[in-house]
Amino acid sequence: MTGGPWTVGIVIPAQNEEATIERCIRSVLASCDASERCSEAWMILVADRCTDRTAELARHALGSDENSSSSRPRGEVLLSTAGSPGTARRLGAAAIMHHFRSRDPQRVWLANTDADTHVPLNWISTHLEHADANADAVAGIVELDTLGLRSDVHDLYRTTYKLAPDGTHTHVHGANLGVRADAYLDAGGWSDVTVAEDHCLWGRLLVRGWRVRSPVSSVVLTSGRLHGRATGGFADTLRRELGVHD
Amino acid sequence: MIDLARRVRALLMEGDLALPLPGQGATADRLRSLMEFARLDLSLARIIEAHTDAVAILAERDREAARKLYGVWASDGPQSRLTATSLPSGAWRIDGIKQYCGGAPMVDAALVTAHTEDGLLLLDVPMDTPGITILPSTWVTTALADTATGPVSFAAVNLPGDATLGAPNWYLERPGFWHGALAPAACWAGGAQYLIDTATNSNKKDPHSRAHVGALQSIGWGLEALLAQAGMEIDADPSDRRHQARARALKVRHLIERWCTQVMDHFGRATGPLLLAQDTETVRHYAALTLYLRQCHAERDLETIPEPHDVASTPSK
Repeated sequence: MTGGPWTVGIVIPAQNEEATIERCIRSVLASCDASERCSEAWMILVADRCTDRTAELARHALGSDENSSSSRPRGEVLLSTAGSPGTARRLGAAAIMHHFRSRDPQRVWLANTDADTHVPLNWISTHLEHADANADAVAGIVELDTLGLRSDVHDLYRTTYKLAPDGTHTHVHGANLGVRADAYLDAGGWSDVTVAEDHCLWGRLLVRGWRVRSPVSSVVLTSGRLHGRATGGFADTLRRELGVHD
Repeated sequence: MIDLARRVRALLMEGDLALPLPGQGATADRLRSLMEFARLDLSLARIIEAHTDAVAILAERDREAARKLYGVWASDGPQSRLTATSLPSGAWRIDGIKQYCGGAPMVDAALVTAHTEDGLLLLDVPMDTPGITILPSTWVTTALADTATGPVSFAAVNLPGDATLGAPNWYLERPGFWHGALAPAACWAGGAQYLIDTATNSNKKDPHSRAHVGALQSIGWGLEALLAQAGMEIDADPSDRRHQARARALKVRHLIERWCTQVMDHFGRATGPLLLAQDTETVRHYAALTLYLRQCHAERDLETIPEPHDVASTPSK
């Protein structure tokens, strides 16, 4: 079923991600531009307790800084003191809802990723393909960016990150999660928690009977560096497992 | 729905069970996370509550759970009693049967209490140690049945000397015991939040249903506020210099148990019999919450809250 083009809102929480934030934003904007099904897009970058140049670099990348040469900003930066990825995502999603308040929530796709992640050109179009095929929410996978990566990290990742032979998987990552705005609101939105906000939202979407998909065809790339944004999180697990203290 | 063991494993693997430790500045976050897990599924929360309690206990002794899934089996009574015997080699031998072992078939290890002549010991027991047998569950209800809670037999189980955590009675005497006692209450609160969400979403228009939903939403706010306040108080005095941890834990557990009981009452009045008879998730949560709340010791705890000098009519001889 196809019901016309999609309005896409992207939410990215960031805690001191000045090293990766520009690449992240550029990759997401490119994937929006590359999707024929995406008629308009707006990004909210939530700079959560950042003490580095994350917010400044993000504003520049979005064309929303004061002396930007770009005529049309592609999104905005919110400053948060929450210190919680769940709360940051929640604030970001609320800002998207406000920005697109005149649109029908059934035609708004909320795409979520992380600031230490970059996405392939087909990221948004893959999400929207599933949305067009009646998926209310999509959980994709996260692959480690092998560039400059320690080989033991990559080996550990390959042996522990399980995918099903039928092209699905059981992972849920805030770094690659899309949900239609009406389903998001019905499920109660992101939880104000510092870890597992992705599993909490996903679980409530399931319980509320929304149609979810977990295709391995939806991929994002996360950096191989071993400090994660959250207290927990995938990077932390890898670091603990390898006994790395960087 | 994928089965509970796989679900917990996935969370463990992805680092989603690495909650902030109690008393380190984010205790309210920790309690909120447990509440949110319970809002999804009380069985899931019960397994996670025990695992995260074990991680906190191990951390107090500067140990790590690595990537193992832990249980905490501390039920104690005439039918549930382990003895620990010190062997000449310095090792320990554990014998007896422990009841209410949550997640017995799915955990990699458990922290278990066992009696010695000097008091109660806490031991770190890998499940692949010879002599451990998971006995058939005596569970009849479907409530929390997927947590696979049941008796476990220990027959001449040999453990190294360093399997003990702390001196005898350390487990019960540390302030962390009472900080940890709030965690099951956070889970009860999450179970209630699910019912509050469901009543809200049932979108009944009649004024009486709306009044009950209003009452439910008020309790929902109260549950969050209570856990947040308790978390802040723990962070303000993590080593319990003011000796309030025990009374605080019992008060919070009491209030949350009462509010959850009220939630179940309002819920039925707000939504009627339909969801309770025919909606799988409602039936699951309602039954699980009914049983989980009985982990509260009710009046047996309440009577120990007032200090002796608080009772004016204390007879004196």
